[in-house]
Amino acid sequence: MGTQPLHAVHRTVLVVDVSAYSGRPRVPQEEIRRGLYAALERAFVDNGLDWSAVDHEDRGDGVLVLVPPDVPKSRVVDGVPHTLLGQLRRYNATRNEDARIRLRVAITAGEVQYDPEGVIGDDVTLAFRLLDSTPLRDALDRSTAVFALIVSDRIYTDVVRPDPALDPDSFRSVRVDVKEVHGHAWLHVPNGATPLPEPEPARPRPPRPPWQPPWARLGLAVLLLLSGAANAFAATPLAVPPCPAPVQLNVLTSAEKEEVVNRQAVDFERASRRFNPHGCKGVSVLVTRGTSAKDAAEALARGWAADEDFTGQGTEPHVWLPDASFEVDAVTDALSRNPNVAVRLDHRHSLARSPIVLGASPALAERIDQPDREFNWREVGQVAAVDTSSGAGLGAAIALAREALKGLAVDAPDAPLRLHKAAVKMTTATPCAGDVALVASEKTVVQREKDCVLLYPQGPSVVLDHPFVAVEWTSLPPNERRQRVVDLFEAHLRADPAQSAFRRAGFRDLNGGLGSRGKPRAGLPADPVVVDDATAVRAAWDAAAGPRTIALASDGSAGAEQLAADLRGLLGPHDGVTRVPLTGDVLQEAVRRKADVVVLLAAGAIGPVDPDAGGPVRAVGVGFADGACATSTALFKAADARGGACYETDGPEGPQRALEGVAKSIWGR
Amino acid sequence: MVLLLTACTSPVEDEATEGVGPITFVDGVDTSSDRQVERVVAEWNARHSLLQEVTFKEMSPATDIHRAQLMARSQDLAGVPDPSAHAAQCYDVMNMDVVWTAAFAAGGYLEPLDPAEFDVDSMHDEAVRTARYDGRLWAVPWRVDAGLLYYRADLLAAEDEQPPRTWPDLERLASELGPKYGIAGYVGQFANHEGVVVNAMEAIWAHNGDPLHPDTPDAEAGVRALADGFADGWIPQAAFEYREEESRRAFQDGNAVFMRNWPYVRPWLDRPESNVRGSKWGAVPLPGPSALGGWNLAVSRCSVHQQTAREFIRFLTGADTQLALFRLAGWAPSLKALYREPELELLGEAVLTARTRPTSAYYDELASVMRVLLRHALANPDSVETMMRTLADRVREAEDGR
Repeated sequence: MGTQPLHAVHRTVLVVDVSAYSGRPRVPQEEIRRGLYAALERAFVDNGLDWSAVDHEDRGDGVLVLVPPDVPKSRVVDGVPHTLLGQLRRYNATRNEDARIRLRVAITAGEVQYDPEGVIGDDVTLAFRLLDSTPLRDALDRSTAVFALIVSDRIYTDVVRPDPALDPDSFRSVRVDVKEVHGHAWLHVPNGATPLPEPEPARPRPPRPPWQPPWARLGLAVLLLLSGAANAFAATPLAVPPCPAPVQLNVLTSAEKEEVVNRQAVDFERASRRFNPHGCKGVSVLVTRGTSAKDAAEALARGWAADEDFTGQGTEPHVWLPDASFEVDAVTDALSRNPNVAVRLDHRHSLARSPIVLGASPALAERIDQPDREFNWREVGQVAAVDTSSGAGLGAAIALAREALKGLAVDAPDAPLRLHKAAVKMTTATPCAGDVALVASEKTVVQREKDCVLLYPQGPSVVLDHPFVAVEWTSLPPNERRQRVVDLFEAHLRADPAQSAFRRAGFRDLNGGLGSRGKPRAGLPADPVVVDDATAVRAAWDAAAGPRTIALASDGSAGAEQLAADLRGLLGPHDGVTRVPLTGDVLQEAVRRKADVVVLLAAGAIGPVDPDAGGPVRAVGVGFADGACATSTALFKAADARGGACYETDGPEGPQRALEGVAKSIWGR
Repeated sequence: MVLLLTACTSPVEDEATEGVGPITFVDGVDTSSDRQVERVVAEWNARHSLLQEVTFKEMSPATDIHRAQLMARSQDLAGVPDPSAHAAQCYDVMNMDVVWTAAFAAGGYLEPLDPAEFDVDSMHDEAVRTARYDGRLWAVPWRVDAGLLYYRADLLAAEDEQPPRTWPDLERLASELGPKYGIAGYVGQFANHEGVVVNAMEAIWAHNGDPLHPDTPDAEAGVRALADGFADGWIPQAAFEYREEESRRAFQDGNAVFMRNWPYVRPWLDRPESNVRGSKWGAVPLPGPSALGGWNLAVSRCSVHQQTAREFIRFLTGADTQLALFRLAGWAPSLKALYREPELELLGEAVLTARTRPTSAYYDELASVMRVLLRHALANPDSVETMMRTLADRVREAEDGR
């Protein structure tokens, strides 16, 4: 083994040692080691250096790090110690004296040879000698700094002195006489904690004992390095540092993606072992889905402040994976209206896509199929009920609403009537059987490929874009470790293996690659529907679809009875109509019959109605004669007191306008 | 110089350690009959001024979600330069499952506690062991949990049978009486959560196996017994989705002859809506050792009102509160002395023979590996041997967090 050829490579050598590690009583060694590794890793990563790409070996009390030559030495000499300082201060601030960390740090550079047992090289040896030198130990002992740094003369000459940014004056030349090393090195103690100049006269110290076993302080690995006895210990593994606690990453996903995300979370956890040179698991991921996308969005919009957000929805998410950007926009809107909520959404890129499509039975498909596997909405009769509490379901409702309104102006006067007419076509019958179609995401339809033929809408289409959203909790201090993990998770989901999992599940990937199930059509819709206010569409659709109990109070006039008949024609299977007499206690009677709305229909003046009697119920009036809705009339007053208007039916559009007005009271939001 | 150093470093800590003020107490959702946890918090608040008010925050009943919220919050507040700036966000007192306590201690998220202050010598030794890590005490056992075997006393009496005390007896009675009365023979916790690990470990122990050496014949026999139960039908398929609450409901509704569950279900079984209230049910210790479950109370390192936090823990773990919680919520106390009460005899037998699960910072990792493989094995009896071998490899990997 020892005869294997060694090849030399240039490395910047950084060694650190925890001061008096082994001398402390009851030292929480694991805590210190974890703290040291976390601080070092941070110091490297924050300087743009990949900690897993630098070689490092655990040395019991400290760590040996070998930095590749493509990393500028100035970054190792300046940036790394600078960040390390902040990290150690932060760590120490919350620790007892027992667990605080103070470091000696030495930096050299030169040719290093790897062999199976470790690393050899004069500059590695020099680094350990400098680390052990008296000036460095004294400097730390006599200051309050959390670390003291010593660099070789060559590092000082080549790196520090030419670079004013490194503040060469803050380094002080010291004489080093350790073992075979005799010469100058340069000492630095950070932030003005520089110790007083050495009081001693410049005379050599009495020689230290000629040789002490290196493992007394540096551990076995150093013995292997410095002596020729490496082979005798070849089988002894290096000490492995303890694993730090994995970063907790809580992910809130939509039901639509739950399966893929769960699987990817497990893969990501396993991959996190690769970020860490010791194979420690770096991340612990919890995936939750909450009770529904709607509930989860509401919990986010109020800052996860309600008790039921924790008991029902789960953890405060760090990552939110909804079905569509319109869901994110809705929460962002809500948050912008309430600056007291300590949540900020970082709405990032799409991870996968899925257009809203139609699933039809083969017979229906044959009847309505147009060229290029398209369909015209007019040909669609009954559709399976759409549940807007999920993002994908809301997408389906948006597609249906857009078709009904030829746009998304849900506040237009005729919108409730039009939406209601679309919504009553919903049925609980099995989709893709007979004439019952399924309006859903492509992903859902291809999963039912046995029953459902996939058709694409002519004209504008809703596309679910499955965005990645990082959730920031602004009342908590920023957690940079987690932020990095969030970024890594996003990268993981965008990388090939995850993208291929999305395709296998029936999604299109982020580059538009088709899912591998069913027979999706190439290319995304050219004309995607833009959704400004998904919350308004959901509310409008749910109101238009909701079952209602309607109290009809008619004076029996021809116009009144005609409108009553028109209204009956609009009812869905779960709506009910109850006739109530058009008398003074009509509102009371409607409440007694548990009506949602009272529709008052009269051709002439009606007797006084007590507008405050009987509890909450909406009312709307239609007057079938000129002046029947004048503000002085009982009809107007009764409707007005209960949030409704009074419509007169004069003019050619009068009856239609009155019906729309009545529909708005019944099915408006 | 020394004086200066002391002056600079300790006040922040002393302020937090001696801090008195309002605190937040976090526990899983209160599943006790009639919300006993809420009641004891209200009792504390009635006895103290607003200055020391405790706010009770409930987490998800799914313990993995509960844990994830506590862990994330602890990590966010670890090492903040000025903890008082985030006092409102800190979960000052956290109730944590015995199996996570080590992980939180290892992460540096807990304040070490003085064993004498909480008189832990008077507490269940195994429970205290779950709260120790790296030679120090990090939490105080509050409730101790041991599985019990609940049985339909009326049906056993009608058959002139005694409650089973061995696995073969349990198997025989469950497979005979279930079909005879048209209900499930046996229910436990086999959903994709930590409960399936506990149920499998107990079966393994009952067959003299060691859950940490799953690739041995005894361990395999334990898992196989459960897998056969599913295959033969005396454990219903529905139980694959049962957590504690689902199995409680099944038994309480009169739909199972036997149930493995924790002590908290006892008060539920005697509620007016229960179909088995009164003399229709009984409970005995499990046919083998139970897994020691339970919950420990810890003080967060981010807490700036640690004195109040410690006093609140002393209040919750005091003999009065623990006895009340046993009587009203069915919880097994952590104080050994309370087991001298005659009404605690049965629980005492179960609790004192219960075995701890590995007290490892990586238990969570281990458990999540185990539950996936175990559920697969339970659903596919033919795969038991393969799964147990795979499990053995993964246990070795997970044990050191790698």
